[in-house]
Amino acid sequence: MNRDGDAHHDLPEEVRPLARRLAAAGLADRTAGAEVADRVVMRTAHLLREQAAALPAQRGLRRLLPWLVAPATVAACALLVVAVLRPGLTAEPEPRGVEVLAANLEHDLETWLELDAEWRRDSFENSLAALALDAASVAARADDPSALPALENGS
Amino acid sequence: MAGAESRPSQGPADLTGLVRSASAGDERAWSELVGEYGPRVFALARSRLRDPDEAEEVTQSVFATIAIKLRGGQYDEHGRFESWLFRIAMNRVRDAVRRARRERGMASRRAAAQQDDVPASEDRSAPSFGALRDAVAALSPADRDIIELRYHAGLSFRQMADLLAEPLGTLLARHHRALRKLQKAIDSDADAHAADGQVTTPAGELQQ
Repeated sequence: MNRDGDAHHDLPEEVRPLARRLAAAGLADRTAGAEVADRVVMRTAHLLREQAAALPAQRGLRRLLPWLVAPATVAACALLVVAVLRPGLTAEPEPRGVEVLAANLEHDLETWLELDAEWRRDSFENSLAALALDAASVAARADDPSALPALENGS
Repeated sequence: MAGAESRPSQGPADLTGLVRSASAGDERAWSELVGEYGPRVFALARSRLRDPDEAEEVTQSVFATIAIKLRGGQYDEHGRFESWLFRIAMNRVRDAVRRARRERGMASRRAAAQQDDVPASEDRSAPSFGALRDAVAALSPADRDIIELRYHAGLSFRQMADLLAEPLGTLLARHHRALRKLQKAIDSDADAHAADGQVTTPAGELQQ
């Protein structure tokens, strides 16, 4: 069973020299890479410095945020309280409103009753029938283009 | 000596603290992080790209990305910094390989690979690994990943399992198979050289 720390112990004998040679090649490349790493550090450190410079500003903004949000939160709570506790915002209508509504309904009822009473009069029904005939006549003449000038003149 | 060199790197003792400090702009922590992982990323890139300058560019690109993401608070792979780092590194290396192929063409790369691919100015003292690199380059992508992550990036099998999201047993088996394939390729190459009157070591290097 191979363990991470033992590179070649469990390899077949015939490939162990090859494994050692590969390891040597890798070591040579990593050794050459040490100088590369030094240059990479020099060329990339500024990328972290930019973040380090920006951090205090970000931290400041984060600290400021609760102070900006708090007044809005307080205002929203106050509105809620006022909305709940303010008199008049209940489901029950005001007494004056009920009076007005009752008055309107009474007026409408009287109007309907009057109309209803009218129906009992023969003259009312006759008047309505005459109006209907007139309306039909006007409609028929409206379909006749030659009759348009007469209609416009009120005849 | 062989054991110490071949043992995978254990990484910094307090990696989490180091990453946190680097994120806060601590340059010493950043220097330590790059000092630990920079050579390993470079070795991985160098093995794949062969050109040390390209490998350095990739290494710098990887750590620039790491720095920017740490800077922007985009690192959320808590406790898995190494997997995150090498995942980025492998993607960058693959992108660089694809770009190089597009730019140069496979034929010119074969021609370049046959030349001495370790510049004398960089590697005067170390032995040439050209034939070994050629043999590794001829492996399948999955086998090559195992070899390069293991021997160049210095990852343990557990770290590789986490990085590649594969079972540990699968990686161990693939590692064994990859070594056998490499050995077979080197043996075939050695036979070919022997036929030409040249001699190679069992590990595949030409003897002068």
